[in-house]
Amino acid sequence: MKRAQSEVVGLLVIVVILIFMGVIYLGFANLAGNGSLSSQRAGMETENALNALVRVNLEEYDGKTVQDLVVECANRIDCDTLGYALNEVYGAILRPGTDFSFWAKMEEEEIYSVGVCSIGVVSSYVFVRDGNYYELRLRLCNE
Amino acid sequence: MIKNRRSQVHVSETILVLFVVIVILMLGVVVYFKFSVEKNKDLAEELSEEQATIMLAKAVGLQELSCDGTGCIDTAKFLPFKRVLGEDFDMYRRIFGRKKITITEIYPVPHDSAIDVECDVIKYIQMEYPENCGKWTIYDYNPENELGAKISTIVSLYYPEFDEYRVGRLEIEHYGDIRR
Repeated sequence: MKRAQSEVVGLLVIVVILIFMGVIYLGFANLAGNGSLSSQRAGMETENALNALVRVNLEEYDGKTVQDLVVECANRIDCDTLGYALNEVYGAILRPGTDFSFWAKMEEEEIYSVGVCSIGVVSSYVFVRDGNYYELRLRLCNE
Repeated sequence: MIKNRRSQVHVSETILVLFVVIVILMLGVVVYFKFSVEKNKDLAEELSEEQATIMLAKAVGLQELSCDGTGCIDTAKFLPFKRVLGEDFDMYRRIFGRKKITITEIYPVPHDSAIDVECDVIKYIQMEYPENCGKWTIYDYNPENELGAKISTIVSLYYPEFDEYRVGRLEIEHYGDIRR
């Protein structure tokens, strides 16, 4: 009888080990998430947000575009308007809790920057106006 | 007599062990089956989300909606697209599947009276257009009235009637799996 008992205990140990391995397998199988999908969407959101920004006609600013305001800023006419326009547009179109950083360069020289975003996908847009080369960069991040 | 008892004990031991093993195996099969069903359901949802994300990326480039490959959506194409959709719905059902695709204007911020108001032919021909509506449902197929998950992205909207660009949000609501 004692031998039979030890056999049952041995069987139980094997069963417990199998269950333990099964639980570990299920745990690992559940870990695989869809992180790459959400990062793809974050990249798309940044690219589209910059693309929409550079085209939009700003009603409050005589129908000018952000490109016009960047050129005015580069010509030392007015940079404040660009800042107000960026805050107005992104305040309306970004999801609550999303911050942004924006940089504008003319011929590799930074002419304007705003925002505190340090981690996130960066998108850039290039245009030429009056023979000068401008580059705009946008980064979106969640608070 | 003693030998007979011993063998009886052995037989009952074997039966007990077999019973325990069978119960454990059955439990294992049931748990595994439940887990794989759950996993397949998750996989179907993941595939549906992946398909919707690809569609979200491709929608801006769709010839039926885009403004000649310049990365924006031509709002003047919405109404003709809806008409074509009605004429050949089966073809578009094969392309889009069970989804709802809407575009909402978000900048300039629409008037309170226009928020969530669907744009249609009647709204389009009014003088107040585009201030009299703020939303286009360009495709909707949900035969089983399921609850869906939504994904969205910002899009540039072009109004050729006024040569004006605005900003909108393209939203795709997808339903559970990738059945068409």
